[in-house]
Amino acid sequence: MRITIALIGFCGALIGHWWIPVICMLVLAFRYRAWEIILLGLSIDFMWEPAAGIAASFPYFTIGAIVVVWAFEPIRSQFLS
Amino acid sequence: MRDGFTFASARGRSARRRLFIATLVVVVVLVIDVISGGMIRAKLRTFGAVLWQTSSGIHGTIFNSGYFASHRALADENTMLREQLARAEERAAAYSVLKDENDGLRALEQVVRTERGVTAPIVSSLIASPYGTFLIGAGANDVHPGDLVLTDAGFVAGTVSDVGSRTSLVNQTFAADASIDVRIAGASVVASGYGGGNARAILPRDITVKVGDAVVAPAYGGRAVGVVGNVRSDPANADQTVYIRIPVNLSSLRFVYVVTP
Repeated sequence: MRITIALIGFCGALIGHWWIPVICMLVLAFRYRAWEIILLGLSIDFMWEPAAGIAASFPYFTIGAIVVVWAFEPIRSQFLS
Repeated sequence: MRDGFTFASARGRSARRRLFIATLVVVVVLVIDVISGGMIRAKLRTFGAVLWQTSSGIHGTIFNSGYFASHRALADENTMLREQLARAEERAAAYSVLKDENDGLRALEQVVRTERGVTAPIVSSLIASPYGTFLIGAGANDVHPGDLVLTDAGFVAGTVSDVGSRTSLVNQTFAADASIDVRIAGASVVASGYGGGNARAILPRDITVKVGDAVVAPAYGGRAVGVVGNVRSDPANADQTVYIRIPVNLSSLRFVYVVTP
């Protein structure tokens, strides 16, 4: 299930609407300690964000993914323990 | 019970360690990409373009196979009629723009010079990007950062941002949160984009603006970036809000013309 969601998110980041990977990231973050979330965020930024220097183009989705991964950790700990 | 708890804790610690390592790796990859001038993202975009073209081909094969014929026929007719309508609107708007340009040229007695450029296919979805960007199938040999990207009627759809070996990223003119100086009915204003080829500008109410008026951008050599789609004026307010749109369905575009210097 985890791999399927991650693959859907990755394909969504490359060829679908950007909401698809965002939803996949949230689902994964809620249910799993998934490092794939950060890769999904990075994929969206690398695919679509202009590389005009890191100061000009802040990697919103990568940073958002890192925040989501670690912000959901206490909830996951409750569910998964 | 205690063993189970210990096992779960150990598994949790291991998973957290993997997350931490992934976070570090991603930060390192980001830094390498920035240092290398976007080399990693260029590779990913090439892969994304190939994937998009492949999926478009598969989609076309499945839906043109006759298996979904009845639904497909109706959907095709609907799409065709919409595209015809959009093209008719685009031609009408282009005529208006040409007329304005012609008047301007006559008044200024300028000479129109022919510009060089390349035709490039669009190799990504136009709705996929959260940053208002899309990919074209032209690389470093053909285009350069800052080149203008035109629709077939000559409207500026965007500018080339990143150039890879085979693909280039284009910033849409009216991407969300983008702003650009434009001229509408002789007045210079700032148009604020909100995605999908739409923008909004605030003008003083005493300037007469009509639906269909051309919107040109001095920064793009006076080229048209859209037309006035709607005007909302409140008698209690000194300003009027002008809604601007590019008169073509961007999603139906297959090719664009990149003006190269």
